[in-house]
Order: sequence, then C-alpha cells, then structure tokens
Amino acid sequence: MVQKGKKLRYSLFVFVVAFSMLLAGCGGGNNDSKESASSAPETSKAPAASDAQASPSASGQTDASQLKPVKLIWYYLGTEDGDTEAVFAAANKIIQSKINATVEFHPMSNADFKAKMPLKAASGEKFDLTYTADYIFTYLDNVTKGAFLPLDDLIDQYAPKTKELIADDIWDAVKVNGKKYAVPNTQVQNRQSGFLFKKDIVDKYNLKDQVLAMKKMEDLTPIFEVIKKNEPGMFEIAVPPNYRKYEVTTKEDYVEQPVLKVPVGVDYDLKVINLAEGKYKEEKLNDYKLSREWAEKGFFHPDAALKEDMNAIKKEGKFFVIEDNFKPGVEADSKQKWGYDVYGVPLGQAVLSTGSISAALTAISRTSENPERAMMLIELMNTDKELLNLLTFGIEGVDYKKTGDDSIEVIAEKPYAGKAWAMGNQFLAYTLPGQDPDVWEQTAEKNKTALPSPTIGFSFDPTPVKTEIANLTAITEKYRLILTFGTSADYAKIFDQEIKEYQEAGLQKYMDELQKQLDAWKATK
Amino acid sequence: MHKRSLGDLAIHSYFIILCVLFTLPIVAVVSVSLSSEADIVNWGYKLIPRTIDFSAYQYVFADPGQILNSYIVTLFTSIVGPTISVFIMLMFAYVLSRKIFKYRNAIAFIAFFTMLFNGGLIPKYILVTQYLHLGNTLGILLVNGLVTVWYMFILRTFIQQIPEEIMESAMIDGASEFRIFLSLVVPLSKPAIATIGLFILLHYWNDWMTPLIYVTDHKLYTLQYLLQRILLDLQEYTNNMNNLPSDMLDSSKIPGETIRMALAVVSAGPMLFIMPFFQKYFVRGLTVGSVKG
Repeated sequence: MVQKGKKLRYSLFVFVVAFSMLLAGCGGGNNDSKESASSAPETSKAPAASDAQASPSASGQTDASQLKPVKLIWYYLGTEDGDTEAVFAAANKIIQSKINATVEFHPMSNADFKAKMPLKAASGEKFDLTYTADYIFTYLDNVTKGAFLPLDDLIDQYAPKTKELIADDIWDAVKVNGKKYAVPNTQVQNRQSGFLFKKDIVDKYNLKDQVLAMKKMEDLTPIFEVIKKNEPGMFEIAVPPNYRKYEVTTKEDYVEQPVLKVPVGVDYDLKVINLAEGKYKEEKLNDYKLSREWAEKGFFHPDAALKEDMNAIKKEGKFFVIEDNFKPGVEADSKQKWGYDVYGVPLGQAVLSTGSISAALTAISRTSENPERAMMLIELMNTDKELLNLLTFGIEGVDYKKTGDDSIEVIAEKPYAGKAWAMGNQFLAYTLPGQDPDVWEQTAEKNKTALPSPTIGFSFDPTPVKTEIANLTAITEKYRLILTFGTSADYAKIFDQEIKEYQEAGLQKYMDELQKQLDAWKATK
Repeated sequence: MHKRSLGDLAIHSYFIILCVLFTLPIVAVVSVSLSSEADIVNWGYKLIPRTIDFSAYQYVFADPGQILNSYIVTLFTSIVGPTISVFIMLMFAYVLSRKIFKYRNAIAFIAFFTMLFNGGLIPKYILVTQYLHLGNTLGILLVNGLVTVWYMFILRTFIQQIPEEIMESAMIDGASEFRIFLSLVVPLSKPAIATIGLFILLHYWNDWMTPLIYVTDHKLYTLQYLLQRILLDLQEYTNNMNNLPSDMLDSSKIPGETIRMALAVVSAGPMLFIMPFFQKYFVRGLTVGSVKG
C-alpha cells in the first residue's frame, strides 16, 4: 500500500517536472529569446503610441515647448574619467532646451560594452540609443536579431541635416535588405595603411628624403641596412612586406577580401578571385622572398614569428618603423599614442569599405519608447558643435581652455575624456595641440576621394560554408607567421604545401558560395 | 638516533626542489611587479628586479578612491556572503540529514535536479534585472552563488556522521530543532564549516563575472572586477587593433607586463595570507563528507 502511494507521488512529480521543461522550451515566442527565429527585423514593434506626440514641421525642427518631456538612455564606448556628472548635467541643459529631453549617458569600457550590451538587447531591456560597430556588439548580428529599429523614415523626418552630411555610398554601407538600421558617426571612414618612422632616428642619419620617397617595400632595404649598422639595439620593422596591403595604388588592382584570413578576394566586377594562384601567387612569393631577405639581415624582432603583442616594445621606441592607419593628423595621434615623434608615409590607397564605415555607428533600440526623440538627439549630436564638444572635451575653463577659435588645450589633471566618434560627428570637434587646424576638412576630403570598395553594403553570410572558413582560417594561421616573417628558406615549398591544403579544405566551395551571394546581391542593386 | 640514509637525502632533495619550483613563479611575479617596464623589455623577467620601481603599483592604484571603495565592497561581500551562505547551506543540510523528516528524500532529489539543468544566462539576466530588480545592487553581489547544492550535500553527509542518538537525547531533554542545530550540530561541524567556508570565501573574493554582467554603478564594483576589467580591455584592444579608430588606443593605458603582475599581486595577495590560517582545517576537511562512519 505504502509502495503504491510512493510510486504515484514520484511519477506525478516527474511528470510535473517534464511538463515544465516542455513549457520552458516552447515559451520563446516573444521578444526575449536570444535565438529569435525572426530574420526580418520587427518593424511593427516601433511603438505606435509615440505618433501621438508633437507633429513636426516639414523640416523636422520642432519647438521644444510643444514636446512632452522624456528621458532617453544612451549606451556608448567611453570612460568615466573626470567630472562626468557636471558634464552630463551641462549637456542635459542644452538638450532640454532644444528637444525637451533628459539623457542618461552611460559610457562603458570595451570589455563592459562587449559583455553587457548583448544581454541588454537579448533580454529586451528598455533603452534608446546605442553605439554599434563591426567589431563589437556587431551591427549586422543585431539587425538580424531584430534589436534595432529601421531608421529610414525617422532620418528623413527628424535628421535631415545629418542625412545630407553623409554621402550616399556611406549610407549604402549601413543598408541591410535596403533599409538603414543605424546612423554612421562621421569620422575618418576610409582606411589607408601608413608607415610611421621614428623621427629622431631618421633625422640623425639624414634619411628624411629617402624615407618620404619610399613607394615599395624594397626601397626600405638600404635604409634598414644603415640603421642596422649604426643602431644595433633597434629592430627595424614590426610588420612584414605585403604587396596587397601596402603597394596597391589603383582601382583596377584593388581586391577586397571578405574574410580576412581566407585568401579569396573580390574585384570591381564582383568576380571572386583565388588569391593563391596566378599573378597573386607571384606577388606573395615576392613578399616572402623579401621577408626572407629581411629576416636574414635581422631586420625583424627575433620573436616576431612567435609573439603577436609588440606593444610594449613599440612603446619603448625600439622599432624604427611601425604601421598604423594613415589619416590626416596621424603624427599628432601617434605622439599621443606612443610617446615619440614620427614621420608618416601613406602607402597604397585610401579605401572606403563596409568595415571602415561600420567602425562607428549609432542605432536606436527596438525597445525605445521615444524613437523620434532619439533621432532628434542624433541630429543634435551631428550638427550642434557646442553639444558635441561639451561631451568630448568637457567644460571650458575646467577641463580645457581655448587657444583659438576652434583649438583647445587640455588643462585639467584628470580631464573628462569623451570620444567624439562614439557619439556623433567628429568633424565638429575642436583641434588639440599637434593637430592641423583644418584636419577635419582634410579628413572629410579624404573620405570623399577614397576608393569605395566594390562590396560596400554587401554582407557575406558565412553559414553555408562555416566549416570551410574555419578550416581555411586554421591553415592560414598555421603558416602565416612562418612565411610572412621569413623564418624559413624553403618558403616556396611551404607556400605550395599551404596551397594544396587550401584546396583540400574546400577553397573552391567557399569561392562558389561567395560568387553565388555576390551575384544575388548584384542583381538587387 | 635515526641514521641518515641516502634514501632520506633523495627524498628530502626531491621535496626541496618541488618547493622551490612552487615558490619561484610567485617570487618572479612579485619581482616583475616591482620592476620598471623598460627593464622587462630589455632584459626579460628576473628574480630580483634590476631597479625597484613602484610605477606599476602607482598605475593600479591611480584612482585610490575607486580602489578603496572596491576593497570595501569586496570585503563586505566576502565576509557577509560566506557567513550567510554557510549558514543557509548548513541549515539545509541539517534538515535533510534528520531521519525523522518524511520528505527528505524528495527534497534532496529536487535539490539534486537543479544541479543537472541550468536555465542559461539570458533567462537568469531577465529574472534578476526585470523581476527581482536586483540588477546593479549590492544584493546580486551577495545572492549570486549563495547556495551551491554540491557543497550542501557534502555538509549533509558530514552531519549524517554525527550520531543521531545525540540529537535524540537532546530532543528528549526538550530542545527544539533549532536549538539542537545551534548547540550541537554547528559546534560539531567546525571542520566542515571551515572547509566549505573557505571554498565559498574564495568564490566571493574572486567573483568578477557577476559585476561584469549586472553592475554598472561604479560604486558597486568589486576589486576583482576592477582588476579584471583592465585585462579584458587590453584583450579587446589587441584583438581589434586594426579596426578601432586610432585614437581609441591610448597606449599609455595599455598595461605592460609589470602592471599585469601588479594586478596579480593585489588580487591574489590577501588570499595568500589567509590560506595558512585555514591550513589545519583544510587538511582534515579534505576527506569531509567522503567516507561515512
């Protein structure tokens, strides 16, 4: 008798548990499940209620007093240095007078942002604006999950000046399925490689003219020999020769690599090219040959093939040449970054790519209750010089002092430090000592004249070839340091071996898939 | 007089070498943290620093207000947390060990069940921030990890070794369950409390994931989180060097080797000092809960 009762109770218990597990598994229907099935973003979520707010005039300028007071929450990259409370209070005074909104600013460090934002988005937490990029809290990922609102109408209505400010092909880079889901923060959007030479060494051996005239990697060899002879404690260069990266100067020669570690490129006719054969193979062999020569002459750091993190050594000024993104004002930036003066030499050509544009975007969360007001704030951050500089440099007289109309000098010991490119239009910012007064005009000009990549706006969906990509990447990584830093005299043989492994890992399959997607995208353009 | 044999010599030297191998890395860590960055770059790690340089510690303690605050928060959670935690788990274990409790097997099963399945991070996040409203409070720092079922079972087995007769005789004398617990069980379980307590203490002291996920208020940052963040940020920088807008990388902020070592010393140091005091409990406690009777 007792046994039966016990059995019944146990089986009932197990049933209850199993049933609750079933419920939990089915539950996900609404917005909180991370694996939301919707691949199309939920446009219907845009709160209809906010239409009832003040109706804007045609130009999008609204009278602040007509608007209801609202609170906006904004997450972006930044630090909490300095007197952030005072700065945010001052910023809110301006924002309130213009659009009757109070903003809760949340600057977060890289690691914080990376860990917390996906959780906030997936759990449906209410916030309005967020920073997004191609390397952190990834823009494309979030659009697929439906975390961002489509902004086309909002931009037309509430941010017309920002719309004009940004060129069409830059807007193209943020379009997914024809709709825009974020506003690019205007800043240096092109990428061009540059070599930075230590100024004091260059001047010491009178190499300035030679250095500034260099066009190809080979030009550097005689210069390095001089340095090697006279400065035995220095390492000549931190990066290996790379024709594709540093020496391509024409549109015809330019090839975009959708996945960096796979040797397959796309040219201007949107044709997929195998970068491990034909003339590209020749180029690579030349690179490796020069690498070998440099390695034998001892121009690389002895640990170059083993260790990636050379920052400490770069900081000590032990490298004669380091590489960085070349933009107007790079010398001043480098002085701040590394602590010594450099001559910057641009290499290759400036390119506008989806990646370089998506490096800094601002999006509106689908959980926002006031998307119109959020867009108005974006318009302010892209057009209001006073507001932007307040949030970038702090309060005049406390954090900085003005040295000219548009130039400033930081005076506080622990100044407030915001990043203009994380919040709005960098070109409105004041210039710091060392920056040319027209650095922003130069940068804007460069953005305009940069070569737009053939794949702007195209996003490659890697899921059908995920395994192949993983394997190909593994092969590249296996041989990369050996070949690029010239550690072996048999580089030709090793390269052939690498190519064979690529073929076996499914290089052709990846190329076919890429071509298929490109053709499909081309048809929609 | 015990004659020293060759065997003895071999054994002794083996253990001496072993001890040296264990302590050398720690000495190296401390020494690197006291060197200057330039020395490390030029001459590598040395057991005795070429020049004593406190700049790494200066960097770590650059914001003394914040560090002090974090120390206080961490001390608080590390003292209050384990106390409450051990108390709750001990009570739970005591109840489950009492043979007169009808439902003890059913409840033990439920507890065991929770060890098998986990809701996942997102549902937990939603529960904590939106329903329990513990996000960004001191509460979540205390509650996260309060009860570990595994430790509770160990405590239960340990209490089961205490002869039931003692408790029965106390009951005859008129003691309530709670009185039995406080006056009999707790004093008798000291080794188990010390061992489990130490584990929990380590957990609370080292926990940096909880603040990473739930806390944005910098007055609530724990010490480990603050230190870990420096390292995580560095990881982000080096992973994305090519992509980040170049003024994001202020290389003066990128920690060098010395700063990483200073971080290690500051975060592990206090624990290193506490461990020896728990030694005697630890050795006895290692077999706690493993063998019955």
